Amino acid sequence: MQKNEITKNPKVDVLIVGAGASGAAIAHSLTELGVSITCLEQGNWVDHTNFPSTKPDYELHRYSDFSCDPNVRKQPQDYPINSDESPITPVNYNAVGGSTINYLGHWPRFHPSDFRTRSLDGVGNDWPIDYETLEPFYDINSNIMGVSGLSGNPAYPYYKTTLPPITIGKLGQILAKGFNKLGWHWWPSDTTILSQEYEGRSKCVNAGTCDLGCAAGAKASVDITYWPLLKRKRVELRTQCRVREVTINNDGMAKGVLYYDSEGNLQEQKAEIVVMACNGIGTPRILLNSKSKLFPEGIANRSGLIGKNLMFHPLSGVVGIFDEPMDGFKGPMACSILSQEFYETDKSRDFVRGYGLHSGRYTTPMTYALGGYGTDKLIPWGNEHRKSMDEYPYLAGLTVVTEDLARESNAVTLDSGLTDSNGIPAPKISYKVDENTKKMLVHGEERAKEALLAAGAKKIISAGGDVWWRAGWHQMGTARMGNNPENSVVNSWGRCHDVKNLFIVDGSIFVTAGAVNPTCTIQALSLYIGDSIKKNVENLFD
Amino acid sequence: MWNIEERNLLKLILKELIPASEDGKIPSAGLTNVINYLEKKSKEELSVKKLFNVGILRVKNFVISTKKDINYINSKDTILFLKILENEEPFFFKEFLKHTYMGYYSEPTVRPYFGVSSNPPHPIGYEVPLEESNFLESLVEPVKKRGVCYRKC
Ligand SMILES: Cc1cc2nc3c(=O)[nH]c(=O)nc-3n(C[C@H](O)[C@H](O)[C@H](O)COP(=O)(O)OP(=O)(O)OC[C@H]3O[C@@H](n4cnc5c(N)ncnc54)[C@H](O)[C@@H]3O)c2cc1C
Ligand code: SF4
Repeated sequence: MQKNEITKNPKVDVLIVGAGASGAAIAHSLTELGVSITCLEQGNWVDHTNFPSTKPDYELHRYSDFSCDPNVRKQPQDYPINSDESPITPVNYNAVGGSTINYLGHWPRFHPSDFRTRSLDGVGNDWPIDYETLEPFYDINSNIMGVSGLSGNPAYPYYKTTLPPITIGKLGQILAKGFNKLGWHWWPSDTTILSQEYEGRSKCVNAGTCDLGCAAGAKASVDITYWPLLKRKRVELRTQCRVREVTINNDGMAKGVLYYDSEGNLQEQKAEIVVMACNGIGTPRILLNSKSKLFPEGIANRSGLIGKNLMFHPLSGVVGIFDEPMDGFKGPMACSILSQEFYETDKSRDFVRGYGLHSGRYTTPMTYALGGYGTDKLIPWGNEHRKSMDEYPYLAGLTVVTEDLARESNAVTLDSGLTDSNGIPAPKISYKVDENTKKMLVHGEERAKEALLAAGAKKIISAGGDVWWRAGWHQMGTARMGNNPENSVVNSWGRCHDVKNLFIVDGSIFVTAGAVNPTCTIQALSLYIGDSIKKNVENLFD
Repeated sequence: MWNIEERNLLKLILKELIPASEDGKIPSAGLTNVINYLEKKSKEELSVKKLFNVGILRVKNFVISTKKDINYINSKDTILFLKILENEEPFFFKEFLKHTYMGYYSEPTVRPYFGVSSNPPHPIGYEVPLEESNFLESLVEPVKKRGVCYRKC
């Protein structure tokens, strides 16, 4: 039964919106304050024993109820996303654990140069913090998530991984030899997938379907890493609660939020501090929807930058056909080896910044038939189909993961017609692949071909520069960090310039995108913001 | 939902969309389970049902036009018809092909032909030995030798 009046809840000290990677990390950090912490999450707990990877028709779930695309998945907790004006659509998971439920656990850190792109290369902006600031928080987070990898990667300042690397497998070994022949950098991937038992979690059984949920518990989703700790520390988690807007007091401070509970009733939750952790799409969406007299364009949006500067990691793929089976479906999907030979700017190239060559393992036969190597193009029918599928066991691929540059025209806005089931406007994505990125993709595909041939590939299949449609895994930049309130939304420790008790801790606050998967940096940043709040607690709102 | 005639019409085209392997070891998509999957899909979604009905009608007309018993229509003629259909009804064709691939490759007995277990991947997974640390160290040795490759700043 829906009620007409708004239910008012007792005020809490800290209110976090979103129980995913960043929300869980900040909650953990703030438990040390001994204050009351409540987290509102629109999704529910997921049952790990019931993941699609335990079912005979597991591949079908990738295209229906467990798709990474919320527009395909259409579960009650999902909100639609209008991506008609973008060649890339954002993908996610909405539940306790957020998108770590279906993420792939690849865990590379940012490079020190990623924080200094303006000074070094004249593009983007410099972050107000640097690699050293985040370094201790990368380490804390690694210990909580459990990171497997090989210490001593020369592409980074030295750090120690928690556990030995997972297997790079036959495919990784063959590709590594190819990179060695060319004298290029490569390294076993850092990953939150366990090579050994850790903190009560089992090691990886190489099932290869990490996007369909890890029923072994080997992949660190935050519902099984952070949330058990948070429960013990009495952080209150309210599930199936969808926040509509952040409300504001007359004095310009956040009052709390209005949210819909599981019955569709509107509730108010007041708080001393509000923390947004809904990811790079969900956070700007709610902030833009929080309109008031003081903030007619959305709360904390005097800079006009909320939703702007959206960055993904546009990517494309190249596949090699080898003359022996590569066992690509065995082992974690995205984590084998990573080459960062072309990561840093090289002035002799026709683009700035760089990209990584990621050796994905191979997916299952259906996924290959439906999308070749990550494209949405079906492989041919008839005799050609048979030939393509005969090649399937012999495939190994490299994906070119590029650094995106911030552009104000790449943006999240509110859709004027589309809404979620509670009537909250859906986000609309307007995005174009940058010219710099296009050049990188061309360069990257050529280098990927070279590497595959050096590794012994007999034939090459390439997407021909097409970016993958469902590659919107990483969503960054839509409420960026900076010292100047005119060209940034939050300060150097995540506090909104315009609303001093409103914090943002997800990928929205990234200033640059790097060319690596962002979640270890998102969580390190979230822990760092938590730490800064603790340090500044006496004069938090000054 | 679909009668025997309709199922036979679909089978006619399914076995050309994904043909059997030359040695006959890998079956074509004319498998009963693929047709059952397509039927299930069409029951679940009205838009799919409508689309498939249009397709079935086209196949029926094709069969009539051959003036042959369905069992005697040769592969060459069916492929020619499918190419015309692909041209004239691209949306139907793509959707039908997509669902055919989904029906075929979700069939657990088909996966082993491609080296993939018929079992769900969890809980058993696959045996992949961890690399010996000496082996891995020797593999990364050349990379280490080249030294630091990030910009200090
Ligand atoms: C298929 C896939 C593969 C990926 N692979 C990798 C990888 O290998 N490595 C990597 O680094 N990253 C990967 N990612 C990205 C990674 O999952 C995200 O970077 C990370 O989860 C972001 O953390 P977050 O806290 O910002 O958002 P999320 O983890 O997405 O959490 C946000 C939470 O907020 C909730 N929420 C949103 N709006 C509201 C609202 N209005 N009210 C209440 N709750 C709300 C959502 O339900 C969600 O649970 C992948 C993502 C996907 C989808
Ligand atoms: S491959 Fe490993 S991490 Fe991935 S789902 Fe299977 S057990 Fe989990």
